[in-house]
Amino acid sequence: MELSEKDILLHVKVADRDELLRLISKRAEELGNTNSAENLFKAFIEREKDYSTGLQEGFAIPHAKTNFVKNVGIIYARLDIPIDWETYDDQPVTDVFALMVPEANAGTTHLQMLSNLATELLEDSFKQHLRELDNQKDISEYISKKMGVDVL
Amino acid sequence: MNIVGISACPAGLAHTPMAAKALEKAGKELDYNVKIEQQGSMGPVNVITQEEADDAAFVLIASDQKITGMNRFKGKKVIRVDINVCIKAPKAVLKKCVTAVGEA
Repeated sequence: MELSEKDILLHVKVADRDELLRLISKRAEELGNTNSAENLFKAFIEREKDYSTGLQEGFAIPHAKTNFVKNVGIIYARLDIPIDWETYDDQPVTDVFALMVPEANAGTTHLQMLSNLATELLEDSFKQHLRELDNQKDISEYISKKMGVDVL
Repeated sequence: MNIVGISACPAGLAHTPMAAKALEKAGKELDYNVKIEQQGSMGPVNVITQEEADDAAFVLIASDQKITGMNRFKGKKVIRVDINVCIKAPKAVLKKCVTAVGEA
């Protein structure tokens, strides 16, 4: 699994978390990760109810594990206007990694890559470098490289 | 000091590995030997053996989920901590647990 330029959304302008997750769900439908943007959106929201996926320093990692996901996918969205999200440091969110996984048979390699991405978000160097990149090609290549199964 | 633990979260995708990595990294910085088993969507990862369980000063459960294999830790002090706190402040969590166990 590699991220492509289509998985990277830059200069996103949304009013709030729900509008962003709707936008990401719609994109996921266009990209073939799901047949139902509406149900994917609901799955994201359901997961947020367990506890928020907001992290710190402007990052959030919403995820949906549902049968409405056909192919494992990641969408990265960078926002022009920070949005409210429950986070560890009470700061608004500007950088969002949305993970989409089918309920069963996601594949160990894919899950490992998502795991690698999640743990990269603990690293200051990853966050800093990511924010220095400003085009879809560089960003998708950088994230793909960092998710590589060897990175663990 | 040897510390073992288990992390688990609702989807088993992101917070499980994040908490495990955060705690292990904090352990290195504090000079504790920390090993965290991940009970996530990949099944058990980095499994704690019986020997490792026996050698541990205490067991840290970073989860509010159902944990499997708790019989490994029979007779051990088990401390449950919110998984988000473990990601946000792993060093503080370890220090607090070590103090709590020391005082017991």
